[in-house]
Amino acid sequence: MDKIALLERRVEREKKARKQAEKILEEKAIELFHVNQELKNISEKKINQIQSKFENSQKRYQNVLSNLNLGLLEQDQEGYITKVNKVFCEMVDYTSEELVGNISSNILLPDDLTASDNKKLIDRNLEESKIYDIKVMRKDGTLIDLIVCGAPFYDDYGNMVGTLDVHYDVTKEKKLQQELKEAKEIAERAQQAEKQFLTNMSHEIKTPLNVIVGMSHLLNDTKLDAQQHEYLDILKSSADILFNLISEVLDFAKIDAGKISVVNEEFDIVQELNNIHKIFKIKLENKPVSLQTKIDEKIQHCVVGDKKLFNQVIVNLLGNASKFTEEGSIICTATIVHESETHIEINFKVKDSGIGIAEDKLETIFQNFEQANESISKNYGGTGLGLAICQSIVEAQNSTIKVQSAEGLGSTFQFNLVFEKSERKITEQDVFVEDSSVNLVAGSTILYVEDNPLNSLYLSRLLDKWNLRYEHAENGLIATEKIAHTKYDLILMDIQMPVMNGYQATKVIRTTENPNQKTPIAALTASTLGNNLDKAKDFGFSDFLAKPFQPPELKKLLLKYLKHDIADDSPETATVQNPKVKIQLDENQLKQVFGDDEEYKKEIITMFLETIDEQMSVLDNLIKTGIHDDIRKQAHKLKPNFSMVGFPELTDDFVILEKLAKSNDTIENIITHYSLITDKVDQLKPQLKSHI
Amino acid sequence: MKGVVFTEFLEMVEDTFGYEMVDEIISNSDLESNGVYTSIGTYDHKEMFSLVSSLSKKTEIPVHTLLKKYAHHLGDFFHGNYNAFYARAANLFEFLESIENFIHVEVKKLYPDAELPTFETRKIDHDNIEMIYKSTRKMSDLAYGLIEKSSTHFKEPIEIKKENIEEDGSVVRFLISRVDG
Repeated sequence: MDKIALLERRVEREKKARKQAEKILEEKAIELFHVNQELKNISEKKINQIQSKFENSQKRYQNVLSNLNLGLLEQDQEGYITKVNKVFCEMVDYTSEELVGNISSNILLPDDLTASDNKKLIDRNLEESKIYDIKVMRKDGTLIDLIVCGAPFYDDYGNMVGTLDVHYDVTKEKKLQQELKEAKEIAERAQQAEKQFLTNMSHEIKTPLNVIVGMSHLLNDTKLDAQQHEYLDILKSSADILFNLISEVLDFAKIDAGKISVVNEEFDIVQELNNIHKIFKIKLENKPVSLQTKIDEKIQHCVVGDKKLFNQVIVNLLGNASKFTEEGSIICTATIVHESETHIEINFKVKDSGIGIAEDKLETIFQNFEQANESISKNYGGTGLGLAICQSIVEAQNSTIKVQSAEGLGSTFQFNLVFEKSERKITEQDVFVEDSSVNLVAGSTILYVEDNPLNSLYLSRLLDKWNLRYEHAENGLIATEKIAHTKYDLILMDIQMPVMNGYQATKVIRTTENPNQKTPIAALTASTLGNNLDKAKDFGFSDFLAKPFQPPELKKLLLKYLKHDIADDSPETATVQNPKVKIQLDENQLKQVFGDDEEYKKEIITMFLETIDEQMSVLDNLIKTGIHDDIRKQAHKLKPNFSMVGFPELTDDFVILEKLAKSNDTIENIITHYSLITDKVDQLKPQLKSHI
Repeated sequence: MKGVVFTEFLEMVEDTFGYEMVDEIISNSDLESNGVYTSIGTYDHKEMFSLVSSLSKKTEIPVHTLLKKYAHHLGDFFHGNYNAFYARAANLFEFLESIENFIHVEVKKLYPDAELPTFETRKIDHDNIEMIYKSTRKMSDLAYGLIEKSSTHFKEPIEIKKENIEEDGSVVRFLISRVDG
């Protein structure tokens, strides 16, 4: 009974436990079902999301591709087109049906281009992507330029099955490029033509201008009244200005073309600076501006450099300084920066107390056609090329011009140049022959070859004036006939002439047997281009004289090549003192004149000092009016006074002045000499004052 | 407490003392479940104490001896049904280390509501390992028996030193040493 009850309880417990377990299991099953459902939902959603993302990105790239206007073309290994996009169809104006199934090179490449492009097509088989440009033929036969990026593509097993080419149409760009290139060429040709025109015109203008300058010199030597002299001066200065303008334009054309040739020769830099000083001393005469040239006394040797370019820069800088300085001073200095056995570096500085340059203009003043402001052109004239030319010249010699300036406080321009030192020492004093009657040895005969009748007239008048014998040939051919039977001492040869030019004639003279094979020949030419000098020397010329030349320049040349006789006591020989040279009271002279009579000496010197200023101002006015005879008379009157007070040197100077005036020398030469006299008179006054 | 602990306990009681004993201890204990257990259910752990104390009273065998005996039975059940946990360990110490770090982690995945003791292990040297048992159930004797049983499964004889860290037996330190033989 107990056993049965026990079993019944057990069965009851087991039943309950089973039901409990079944319930739990069912709950778990439901739970699992839900979890499973959720999982399924999640994955489906995910897949959809990924798919739509993929589709979006594909769409986006397709959009990008079609917006980029890239033509796509797929072709198989044999070149058969398998797929094209709309853009490509539009590019070549074929439908997709017309293209697919055709060999791309047959349908798209023009026959004559197939061969040259085969290489590119073959390259494509090398299984690497390439970018190249190609001409493709549209359906209507017109050609377009495409940039192609071709890349291989592969099947699932990694075998290359074809290429995908991306095309970009650059027809417009290519056309534009071509047009630009042509436009540039046209512009360059036009610029070249313009430059050539400028050069030719300047050249053409120079020849008649040469005559104007020359003739005005000759005119100056004739009897003129005061008014005529004044007109003539205006004529001359205008011609000078015009000449400078043209020179600048020519220089500019040369510099712009990068043609500055540095021609090195030995020259005396101290002498050059002194000569320039003299020129500007005269120019500044009518302004209350003092000009000083301070040259480092340690400069003992001549230098090897381009004299012409050096002169051009210094003259230009001094020209600017005198142009823009109304009162005060201009100081030109040359100082040694560094000196070695073989070379010397010199700093050149031009400092003025003129109007100065505003700070914001300092940077542009070296540019072509730039002046500090537009009113300068109105008030002072000029092309605005000067400083640009100077800078280019100095740069061609590996240096730079530097400027310091402030408005109203003057300007300082400076640059350093390195020269090779020459063996020759500088000359302390310069010998100038100023008078017309150069004692050229009789028998010297000159042949001048010149086609222009006015130039011929100018030359013959000058040679006549100097009592020289000469013959004239109208062109090179006539010259070659003349030289065959007459021996000349010097031949002056124009370059540009009809029938036979100067180069050809000189070549004949130098290369054929004749008495003049070794006669010096000087080229006369209106061209100032440096390479003409080289060319001239190459052709056998001995020297070179740029037209228009002034009488002293020609005279210098003649003296260089013709035998001449300068007598020791010749009054025609004038010694032009270095401006720095001081004059000194000659005590011996005073003793000779006055003995021991101090009273008398004092009286005379006092009287001299009381009257000298007035006398000098009379002379000053006479020189300004330019009447030779009056100048001569006043010089004659004044000359003995200076010996009386112990300055015989000045008496000599007045003798020269008297001679210059008597021989109707140019007023310029007279002024040059006169300015030396005034310098000395200024120096002697304090010496005399202290003496008494 | 998981139902399997109860079903296996009653199984052991039946095997050892017959179903009469099972019926007796169920009847003598005040059980919320009325002694109806299924291995996949979850029941109040206090019922286990009631059952064990009833059995101890009836048989006059101390509770800790009964628990160790039950642990040996449970160890065999685990070894028979969850052998994979034994097979992945190369030796006994590795297995003991994996209880906290692997087996209990897996149990938690299946039964997030399971309340398990923690077994921190610290290997002292090649032959000695320390295990800290922590449980509010304070059934370190069951743990003791299970450790003993696993030693037989791995055929690695050991010596176990047990030491209460908390007097109430909620934190207990086992020092297990290999015995050469």
